[in-house]
Amino acid sequence: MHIPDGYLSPQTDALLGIASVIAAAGAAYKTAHTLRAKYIPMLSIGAAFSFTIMMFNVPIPDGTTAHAVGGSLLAILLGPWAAMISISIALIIQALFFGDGGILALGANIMNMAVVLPFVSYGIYRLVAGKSGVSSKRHWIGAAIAGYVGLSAAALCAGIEFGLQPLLFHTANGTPLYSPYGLNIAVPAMLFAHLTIAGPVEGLVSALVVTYLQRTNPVMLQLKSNTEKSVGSFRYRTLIIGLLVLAVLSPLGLLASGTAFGEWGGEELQAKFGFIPSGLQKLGDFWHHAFLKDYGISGYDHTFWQQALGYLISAFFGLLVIGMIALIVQRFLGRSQGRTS
Amino acid sequence: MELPNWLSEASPALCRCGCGGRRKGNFIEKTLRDIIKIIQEAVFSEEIALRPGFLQRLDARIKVISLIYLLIIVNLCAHLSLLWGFYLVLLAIAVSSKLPLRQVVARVWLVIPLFTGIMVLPSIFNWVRPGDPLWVIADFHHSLHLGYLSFPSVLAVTSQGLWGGIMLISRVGISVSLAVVLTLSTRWMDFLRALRTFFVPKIFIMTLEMTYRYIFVLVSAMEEMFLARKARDAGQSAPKEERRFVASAVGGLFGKSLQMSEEVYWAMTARGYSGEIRLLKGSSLCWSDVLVLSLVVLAGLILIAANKVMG
Repeated sequence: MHIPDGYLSPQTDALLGIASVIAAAGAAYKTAHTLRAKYIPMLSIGAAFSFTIMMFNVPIPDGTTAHAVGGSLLAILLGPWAAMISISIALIIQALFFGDGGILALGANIMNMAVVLPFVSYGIYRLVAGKSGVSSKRHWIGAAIAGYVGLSAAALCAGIEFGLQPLLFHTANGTPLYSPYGLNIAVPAMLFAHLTIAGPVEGLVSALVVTYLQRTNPVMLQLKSNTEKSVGSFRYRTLIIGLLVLAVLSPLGLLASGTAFGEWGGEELQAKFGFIPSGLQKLGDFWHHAFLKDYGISGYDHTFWQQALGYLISAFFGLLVIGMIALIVQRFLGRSQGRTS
Repeated sequence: MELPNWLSEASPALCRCGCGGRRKGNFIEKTLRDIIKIIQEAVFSEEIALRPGFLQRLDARIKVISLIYLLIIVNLCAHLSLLWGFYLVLLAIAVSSKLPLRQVVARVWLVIPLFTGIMVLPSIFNWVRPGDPLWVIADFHHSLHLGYLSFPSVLAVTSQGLWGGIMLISRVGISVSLAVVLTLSTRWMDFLRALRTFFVPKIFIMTLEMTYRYIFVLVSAMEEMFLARKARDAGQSAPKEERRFVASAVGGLFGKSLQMSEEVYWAMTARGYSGEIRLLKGSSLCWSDVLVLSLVVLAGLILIAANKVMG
């Protein structure tokens, strides 16, 4: 379920990043008044817990084992908003440090596993459990259905994201640039794997943990309603804004640069490259011509991108040479200073 | 002396083929192995990040910006030559910074083509994705019907499918390599702190840092649970019982983490935490950091421009 970088186009990542941000903004609005200052340690440890859940191997009937995502369980225990934050943090740590899931694709992964999964699960759980007592059967049945349906919904989202890629992004002759399967293949494939194995595992784990807590520690199942009632501070809002900024960070920046690239007019281009120092520009012209001669393409300097390429390469090597010289000078100075002292 | 009956029976814990070896990989050992892998990875990457080298010396903030920027560039480039040219430069830098090649090259390129390759394999045939035939595998002379599905008479590998597949594998592999190179050369705490530069509120950085710390606390608590179970485990237990054990471990761990979060909160309060967050000051950037950043930005623009020029 963790989508790595390269499967989705940066444009899709950007879009899903924005969608995740909107969800996070919703969380900020919704929960600004309900949480306590105590929440920082609780959220940190909740995120660590959600990271750890994914490490449990669950024995399944054919003799092998499978992993549970644990998203629906967290939604049931902590409520959907806190679950969203915890899972997002766990996903960020997995992407940054364990290479599990892409960094650009974080928006997509957060959307699927931290927004869709907990909310769908929580809705179903509440619907089934209703107002029944803590020890009622309806709680664990609700948890089982919630885990199964929630994970399948997340898989459906991932399938749709994959399936849109070949429709939107391909070269002129139809070579797919990202994930190659259309909706008619990607969605059933994702759904099949999750409806048959991962979904039941998720449902099973949620139900078993809920029955365990019913048996041993029923207070924990009521935790969620307690935290909602308590009066909170504004701190939680800044936390979510942080999440928001982080989610925006990659995809949105890319969107800005992406559209700017497509829309550069003559004047903008002048402004864009006006910063190259005149000396470098001279050097650039020199390199530019050498570049042309070596490659011998006539009319190479006619389009904007060809000119831009020449300038950029010259600027790059110019800067590289300056850096090298500076490094050598610094080292030389350092050595002579070392000798004098 | 007489052997008790259960000792002379073939143990269900032994391999069924009769080789006498133990059945490998029950869920306890698998989980323990996963735990060890996580901890080992963390310790190992910390050790690499402490070695002297070009990438390690670079400021973490520069690395975070470069990572995101270059990932976008790599994902926008649509030419294999550009992607692989970029990868070779990246590899050269990684080697000069004494990053372990086994980690950077072997782990990425043994795993990615396998998983992504299996996923992408069906799409190279014209039955799944129509395209220009490159290599005809079979010609049935008449179109095939299977239920309401109908397939063209020729089964062939399409050039679009093949190049699309190679492109996807390259892109995924190079994106992962980029992330591996930059995260391996940075200490995790530095990496998290670097996020502060991007207007991420302190409270969020603190949550991330605390999460990172407590992952290891919870993981070792989990390890103890599984070791304790392994120590008591003889033979094979019923899968139903195993699943119940996993569920009670998850439930128990949840209780433990709640209790811990309470205790951590009180410990923080006792040490003067009033809701205000103070983090250690970061170091300032030096000229070489700025130089490297400008080089990275220019290199990215060069790739984009070259991509446009090549069409």
